[in-house]
Amino acid sequence: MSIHTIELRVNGQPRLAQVSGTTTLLELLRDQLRLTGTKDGCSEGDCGACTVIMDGQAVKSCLVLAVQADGSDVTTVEGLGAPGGGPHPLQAAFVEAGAVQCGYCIPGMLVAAKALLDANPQPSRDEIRWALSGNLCRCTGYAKIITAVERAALSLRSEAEHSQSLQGNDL
Amino acid sequence: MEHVLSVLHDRPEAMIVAGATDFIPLVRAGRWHTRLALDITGLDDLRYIEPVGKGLEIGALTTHAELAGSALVLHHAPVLAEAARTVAGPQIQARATLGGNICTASPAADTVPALLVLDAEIVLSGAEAERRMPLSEFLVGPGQTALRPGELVKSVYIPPVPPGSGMAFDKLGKRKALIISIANAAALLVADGPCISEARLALGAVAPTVVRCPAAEAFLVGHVADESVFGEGASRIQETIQPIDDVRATAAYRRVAAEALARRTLDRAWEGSVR
Repeated sequence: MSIHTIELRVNGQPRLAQVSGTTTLLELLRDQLRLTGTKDGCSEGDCGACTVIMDGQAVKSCLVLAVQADGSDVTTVEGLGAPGGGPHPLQAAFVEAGAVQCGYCIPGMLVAAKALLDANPQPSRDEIRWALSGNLCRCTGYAKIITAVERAALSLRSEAEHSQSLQGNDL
Repeated sequence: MEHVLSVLHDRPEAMIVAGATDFIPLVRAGRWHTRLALDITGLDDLRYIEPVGKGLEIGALTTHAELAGSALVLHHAPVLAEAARTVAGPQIQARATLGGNICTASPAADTVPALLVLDAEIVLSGAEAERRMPLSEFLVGPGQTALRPGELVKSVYIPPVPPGSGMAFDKLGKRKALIISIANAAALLVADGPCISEARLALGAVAPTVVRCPAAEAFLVGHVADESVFGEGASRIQETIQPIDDVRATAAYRRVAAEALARRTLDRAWEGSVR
């Protein structure tokens, strides 16, 4: 079996790893980098619990070979809240909306939602449903999750407007 | 690209890996076997959508997300964008490639019916020469293509579409996302006033490969389009399809479902045509 050395950024940090040709990005993140926030639900691309953001797009890390992530920029659920700071507005909104029951799907939901809001700060409920259509939740029935993403979008937008008006005052 | 072709020339047994969304689960499940995999996702020169004359050339590594969001595809071949957007879910569309969807050669591949009604051709590169053929000839059977050892799919060419064509894609599954089609269908119709002057209909998951339906197409041409003509045309698919029983549905169910999908896509394609 061949061993490959890869270099990537994970949550802003440069990381170096040695992986086999068949190691998945999910195995690299969980087993080698010990970032166990990303969950392994089905290992075959059906459940979305292993969703991470790779170069700006939500992907299922169980369906990406680690070697294919060489040189890429990866964000996991650990990269959402500021280190030592509070939760990300998406995480706060999930708590407030009661969008979490068993919690297993939530890292994937949060990360898929983050990719959506990065690309589209004001999504409709249908657009949220579409963005989360690759993620399965077996507890809540999705309604509260969608509401949480809607609320997070609103708070992120008002945060952005607030910081813009502050910058305006500086001028 | 030259490097990849020379590796393939020297090691023709290598399995080409692109988006890996089929490769990883199928290898892990023991359904695909390989001792050597060649990841080509770094070949950025195979990731493009370009007009060629009045047609369109699409690089093999173009992802489903790129197809679904491309203004060029939406303009020239909207049925392909529509099909690409129904594959799996957004995370898989971000990785899975057009070339991969074709080369896996699943009878249920969703982009293939769309490509068949567009009369798509496939462009193959080898160490010595490039060759092209109709996609319908490239797909030989379940999991089987006409790809020769040492070759790789370079691109797909979509010839100019008849002006005023209407087109539509539809699929049937237990839910909208993350399912393999029980059946799928694509239609392309050209109108001459109230009459159908050209008809193309392709169905997936109802035969060893995705198939065009010549009997249905021949019946439709020359008729004044209406509900009963689409119903009669759709019923002619029964002469072409050879569905089987599998984990997703029975053959009998597939016959009924495919005919309904055919009728529905014909109807929607007609609505989209310019009269």
